[in-house]
Amino acid sequence: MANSELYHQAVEIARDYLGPAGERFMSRQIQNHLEKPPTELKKEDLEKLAAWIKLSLAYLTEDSKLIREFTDRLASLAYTKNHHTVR
Amino acid sequence: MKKLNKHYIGLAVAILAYAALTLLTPTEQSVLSRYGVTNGQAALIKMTVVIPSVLIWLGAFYGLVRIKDYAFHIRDTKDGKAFSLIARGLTWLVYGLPVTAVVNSTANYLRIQDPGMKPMLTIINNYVSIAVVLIGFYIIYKGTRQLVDMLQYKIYSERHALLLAGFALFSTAFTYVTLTNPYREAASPITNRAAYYLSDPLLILTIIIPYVALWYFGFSAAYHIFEYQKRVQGVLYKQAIKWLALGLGAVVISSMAVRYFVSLTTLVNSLNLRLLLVVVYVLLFVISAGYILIAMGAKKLKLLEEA
Repeated sequence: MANSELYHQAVEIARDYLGPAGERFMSRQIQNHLEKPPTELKKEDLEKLAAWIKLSLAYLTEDSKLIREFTDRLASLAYTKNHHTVR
Repeated sequence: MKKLNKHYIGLAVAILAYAALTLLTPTEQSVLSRYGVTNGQAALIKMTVVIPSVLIWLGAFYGLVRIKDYAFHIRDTKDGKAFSLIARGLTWLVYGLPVTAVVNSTANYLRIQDPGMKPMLTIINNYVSIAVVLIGFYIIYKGTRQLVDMLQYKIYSERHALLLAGFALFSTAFTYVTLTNPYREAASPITNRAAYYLSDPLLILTIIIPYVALWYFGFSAAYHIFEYQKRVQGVLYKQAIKWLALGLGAVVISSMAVRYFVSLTTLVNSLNLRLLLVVVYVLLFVISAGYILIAMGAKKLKLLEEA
């Protein structure tokens, strides 16, 4: 079942760095690299997603601190309790 | 790709027409006497304006292609619709450059052939120039307004009030200078030409009011894009759009300056030639730089959509 809340949390993180392009970026990363609809993002996917995002952001910026911050925040979503997993 | 080729062909035709008309049109004797130059020297001086003008058009076209490409890429999104409007407005400005130059050169050529056509040609030239920039600025204003509406911030702050005050001062100064110009309807004894060939009521209705509207849209568009760049979310997005905002601001402001400069031709003609050329070159440089910045910004923004 869909876990769109996790996706929306990921989008909010992306928006902090990519603004209006954030949702498009996150959606594209999930569809292209995880090969699933964005709203089906799961906690188990976050580590792999963060790795792909790290590669993608390297094309956009040389600021390694910013890239690390983005991917760390994304990865930390795996440990947050405030999303509901629908089974 | 087919559509792009048509644009290149159209631009090439405009460049050839402009260069031919400008160089083949003999310079009026009054102008040669006033600046103490020969026909040959006048032709060389014209080249120093034609060549940079053509380079500006090429730079402007490049900037336009880039922003159209970016806007097309995100066309189905909220900000995409806003950028599509901005790109459409810039299309008017960019195509307006060769169109107004060719209209102006044609008018100059026909004026020499038949001096009786001077009033009609001057009126047509003025109206075409104003219409193109007014339409372009209005569409850009709509697009930038859509961008700031997405922010959900109250952008109409003290800064906006200062901007409106500046616009009011600018417009008032232009209105005063235009209506007190002794050669607005009657020909100047120096240039043998009037600035507008219009009675004051028509001058107010069809020149001054459109100019004031044009500057309002221009000032507002520049303000909107700067506010958008300042307040939009996203560290990397802000870095990318900064170039586009700077470029769009430069294009809008320099286009306004060119219109202001052209509207004061009878005043400027009393300056010496060197100063005249410096003013032209500075304005051309700013326009060119603006379009290159737009291209840079659009390229960076597109990268965000492709990563």
